[in-house]
Amino acid sequence: MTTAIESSGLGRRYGRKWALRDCTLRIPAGHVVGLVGPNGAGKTTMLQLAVGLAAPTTGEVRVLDGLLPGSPAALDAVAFVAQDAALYRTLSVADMLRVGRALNRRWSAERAQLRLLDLGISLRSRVGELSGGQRAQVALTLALAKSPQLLILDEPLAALDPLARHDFLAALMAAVAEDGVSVVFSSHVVAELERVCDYMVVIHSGRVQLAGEVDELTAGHRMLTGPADQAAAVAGAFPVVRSSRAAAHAHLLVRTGDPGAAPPGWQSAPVPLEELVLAYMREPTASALPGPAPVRIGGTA
Amino acid sequence: MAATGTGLPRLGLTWVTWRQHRAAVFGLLGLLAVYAAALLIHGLHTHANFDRLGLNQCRSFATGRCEQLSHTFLDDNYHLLQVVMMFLLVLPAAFGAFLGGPLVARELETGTYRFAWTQGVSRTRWAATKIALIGAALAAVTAAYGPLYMWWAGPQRQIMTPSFNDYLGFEFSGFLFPVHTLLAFALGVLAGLVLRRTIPAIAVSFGTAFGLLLAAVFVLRRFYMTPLATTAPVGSRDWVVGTTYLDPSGHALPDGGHALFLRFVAQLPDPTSDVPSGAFRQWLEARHYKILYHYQPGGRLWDFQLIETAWMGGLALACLAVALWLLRQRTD
Repeated sequence: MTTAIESSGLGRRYGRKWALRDCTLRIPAGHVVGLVGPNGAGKTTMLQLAVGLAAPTTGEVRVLDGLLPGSPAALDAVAFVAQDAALYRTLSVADMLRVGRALNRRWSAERAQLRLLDLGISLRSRVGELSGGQRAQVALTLALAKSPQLLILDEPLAALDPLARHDFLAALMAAVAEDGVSVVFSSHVVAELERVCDYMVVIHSGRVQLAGEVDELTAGHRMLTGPADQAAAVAGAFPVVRSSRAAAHAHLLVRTGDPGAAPPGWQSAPVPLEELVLAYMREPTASALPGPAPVRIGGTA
Repeated sequence: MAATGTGLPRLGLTWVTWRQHRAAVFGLLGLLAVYAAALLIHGLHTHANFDRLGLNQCRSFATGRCEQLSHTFLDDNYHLLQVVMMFLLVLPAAFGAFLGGPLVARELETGTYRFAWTQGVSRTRWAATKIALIGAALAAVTAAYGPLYMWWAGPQRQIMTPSFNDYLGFEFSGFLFPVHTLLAFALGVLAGLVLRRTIPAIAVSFGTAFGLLLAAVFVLRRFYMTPLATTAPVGSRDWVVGTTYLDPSGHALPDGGHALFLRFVAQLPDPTSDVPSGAFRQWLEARHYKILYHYQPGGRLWDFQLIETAWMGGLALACLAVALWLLRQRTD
């Protein structure tokens, strides 16, 4: 298996508004992929299309090397954790597990129970009485009990406090280490991603801005700092993602794979992932920059 | 629980359906059980009275002591009838809507469809199983009401011999009570899928199902078959759907006999007193006028039952087919 999610010309319109537009990307398998973008960027739409909860208006999307989302094979192999952990709140955790068991061909009941035991979540509690963090853990447990090849999570961290976020990501990473499951999760919180993601997709206004392995992305960008009056000349030599000025100095976030590419009188520094992602999010048109790009934009679909 | 399963567990979806809808099913069964118990207790009481008064010995309730006794019996034993009728009118629409409306709408409303439809069972199978199981439960429970009602109303029907279109008799003779319930249920499932909200889905499907029932009772049924016409008196089980007055030369009176009736009233010695039944008819016959009855003969009961079962059942199936089709397309 080489591809987790692949889309070409994928678009989804609700009424007259496009939630996702002309999205062509290939997310390789075997990664923990962060799908990042501001609220309303089309992240949820992208994931709902990938799990078959929504149908494309244009284009197509496939998961796990060509499976049609929502098809029996895809339903078996893909697990989905919806935003706000969409579970039956009136059921007990035990009944919720039984529902999961009843609706799936593959199911690891013992592992699920052990996980919940480790987390100190009582099987007798009602799902609605659990804290947000516990509910997210139950949703993750249900998803992992399917032994999926691909785990898709929609904003799993959004409703969690910092401690619960930490615990959730730890549980997720443990599952990845144990099963080698491919993970794609969306988030508008950039800060935590660096710790867990090794692949990043940034989308904005329903379009893919940036996609690539985290190492390549960080290696492919430099922050150049130098005299403001030379900024225009330097910007002509490199593809600039974002520029800013502070007093006499200019900061240019440029795309270059060469750490020593700084012009005389300029300093070159690596760009932390969070800063890089934020820069792209602030510049919605940045992916359209001309010039040779060391970073694969939009993948190779 | 098995450690690791391959293949869907047997009765897995059945258990899920039961677990999610058992409260509604218990509510339905509880209400119907209370209602059935009331019919049963009251029925035993009236049957006993009927026998005690000797009404079971009567050949006819039109004359003499049997007539008087039967009037007393009806007055004493069927006071509740009006209330009972009102309830029975709304029950199919209410039960169908309350079980059908939330079936999909609640999942859409609370967002749990994102869990339910991303498991290993396809959403079409998920919905089809739920619809089949709950529909079967509704049909079985409501079908049992036919014999119960007919037994309960037996003494009264023996005395009054209502025409076959008598609402409750018609409702409970065949399978219309379950069919009306299933139609409301199907409308509820479809409305829930389209409206995505539980309460509006229940309201819309209840209103539509109840409206269709009223339309059938008060408007549509009389047109199911072309009525026959006769100038002879019609039988007690026949359903007269219209009358025409014929003048001595055999032509229909254009005003529907209104002027004629005014003339009849004008010649009465005391127009304010009760007119004996049949007096107008005798008065007309003496003047060589005739009343032409347009009627559906009592023998058509099963034809009518079949026609209504077919169109309402067909509509229910069509609603479910559209709902399943929409569910396949749907997508948020």
